[in-house]
Amino acid sequence: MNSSTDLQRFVADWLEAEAPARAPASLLVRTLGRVAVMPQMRVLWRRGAANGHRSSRPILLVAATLVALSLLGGLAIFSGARPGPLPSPVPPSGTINTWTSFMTEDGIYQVREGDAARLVTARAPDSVDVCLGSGDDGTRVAYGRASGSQETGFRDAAVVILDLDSDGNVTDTIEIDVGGALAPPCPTWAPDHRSFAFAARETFQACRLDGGPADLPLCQPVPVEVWIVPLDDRPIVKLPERPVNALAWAPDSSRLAVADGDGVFLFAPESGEQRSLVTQTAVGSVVWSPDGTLIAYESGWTLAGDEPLNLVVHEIATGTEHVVASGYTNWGPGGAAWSPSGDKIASRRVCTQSAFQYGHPPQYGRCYEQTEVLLLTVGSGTSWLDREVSGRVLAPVLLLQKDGTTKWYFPYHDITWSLDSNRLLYMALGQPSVRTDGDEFTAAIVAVPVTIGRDPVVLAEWGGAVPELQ
Amino acid sequence: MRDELIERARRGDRDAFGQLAAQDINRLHAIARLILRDVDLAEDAVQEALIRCWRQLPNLRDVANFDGWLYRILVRAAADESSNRRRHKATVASLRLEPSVADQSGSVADRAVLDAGFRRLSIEHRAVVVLHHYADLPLTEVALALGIPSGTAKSRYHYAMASLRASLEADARRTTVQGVSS
Repeated sequence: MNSSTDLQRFVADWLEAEAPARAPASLLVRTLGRVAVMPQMRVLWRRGAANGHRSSRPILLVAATLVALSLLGGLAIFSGARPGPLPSPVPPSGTINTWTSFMTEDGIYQVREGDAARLVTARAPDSVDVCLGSGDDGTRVAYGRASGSQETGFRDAAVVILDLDSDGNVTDTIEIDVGGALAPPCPTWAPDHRSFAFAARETFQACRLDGGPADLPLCQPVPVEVWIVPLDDRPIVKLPERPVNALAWAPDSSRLAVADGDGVFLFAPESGEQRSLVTQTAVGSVVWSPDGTLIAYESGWTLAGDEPLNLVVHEIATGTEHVVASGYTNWGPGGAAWSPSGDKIASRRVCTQSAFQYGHPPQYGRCYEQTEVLLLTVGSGTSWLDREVSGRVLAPVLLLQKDGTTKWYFPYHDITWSLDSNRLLYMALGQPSVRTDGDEFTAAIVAVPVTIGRDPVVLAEWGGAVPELQ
Repeated sequence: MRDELIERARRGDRDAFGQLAAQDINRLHAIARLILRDVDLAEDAVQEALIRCWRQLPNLRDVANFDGWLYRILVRAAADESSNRRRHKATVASLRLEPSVADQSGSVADRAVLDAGFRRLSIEHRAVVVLHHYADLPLTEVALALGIPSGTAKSRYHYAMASLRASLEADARRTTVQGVSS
């Protein structure tokens, strides 16, 4: 090998000799089989997320805005990227009367009472999808997505909106590129659908709260920027770094509430006005009352997870605060859900029962990952705040199985309401009521009527998708 | 004809995409095999690349750039597959074959050494060599296909070739020393 030309020829000949003549026929068949269920992705516009520059394609911006504004109903997006294991599967969102959307490790599905779950779109390979939301009539879903992984680094972070026909087929895909190497964005949509906010994290590392799975690192509060991304040509607004836990838009979309390690502050994107609402307490979650006059938040939330939590209702006009539930701990951040009708608040918390109540053997004596939902029946306006709020445990539910056994369905992720406020929807962790080592858990979507005496409904159930937390 | 297929696929025609994939899959598979040096990884990379191609095709601005664009997707998919599998993959020792007959493209032993040297290169360096010497792309087009500056493509190429030469020369020295000592 005397010259570079000899080496080049040698390498070229070697490559030619090493190259397989043809691909296996099954490879093409397999690939086209996956393409057959995979929608195309159309980027209507891209944003330079790092500097918030304006797009040079105004026509497309208008198109994107119109599409976004046509989103029907509220996109019930779950707030804020949170510490803890990767949210998979993602909790359900939307309504029960038409279609409820939910996300598993395989893709996005929809289900409604009386119908089997249908696949909307398979998860793309190399894609991390989070924080699914859907329109009220089930014809649009939206979620955060990025390619890559924690280990290899993320890229192409985007918020994706899928347009569906009545059969659940994807007819259009809108990708809103938030750019850079950010972790999958968890969009919190403004109710007017003109913008969304998310905590711009560069990592999405699974971590544990104190007492959580030992093979995960302990969660640490990490200050991150909050980005407010309009769907028109207004610039992206980036709020200063804070240890953000949750975001929530006011019902009129005028203000964004940011819950963090220091309290709650409000930000008005139009005016730029900022206002600290709650200070000197760590806040894990925040939610607005439907009329926008109150917020409910979890105070005393710590990464250690060992402080008593209070569910506090704060009157925005006066600053008056009312503790409506207290004295329990929350293994992980959960948050409350205010019913669309405004007269009920559901709050997820670690179960207050002994684990024996759920049929667990002695080694599971401490109630640990099992959670329950407390239903607080309130009232309209603020008059109800003057009386003691009554509460009852709405979930978990114990349901008879076809084989005659019984199974608990524990609330596993955030909770949401049906559009008519008559039923609570939650993603459940299904566990046999008589528990032994080696039990196979299931994931399920459960709808629980708030009316006593009416039966819960398991809308969909599947196995193998629930990460083991113990 | 090919441009028409690409255009139809870009508009969502799955049959057209199927025809395109059938046309290209052997070439993609060969390139992926050469870059990754692994049958399973190569198949996964090709499948992943074609799926990404289908999903992102509406965003391809110029049909004339399709081939280079597809190479870029393939190389990225190959890098991802390699990275994803690295921690799960057991080390596989390469067999050193003894030459038995004359070989027009160099001795079998040299090819084994070349293979070992090639495996030591990063996926990015391998991609430049394969696209240049197997797909016959000039280095300027390799740069376009990979989305890197031309200077970077040339630099990677020269580093890769120097590394391969060093492998061959080191093996030659070892052989000489063994011959002398035995």
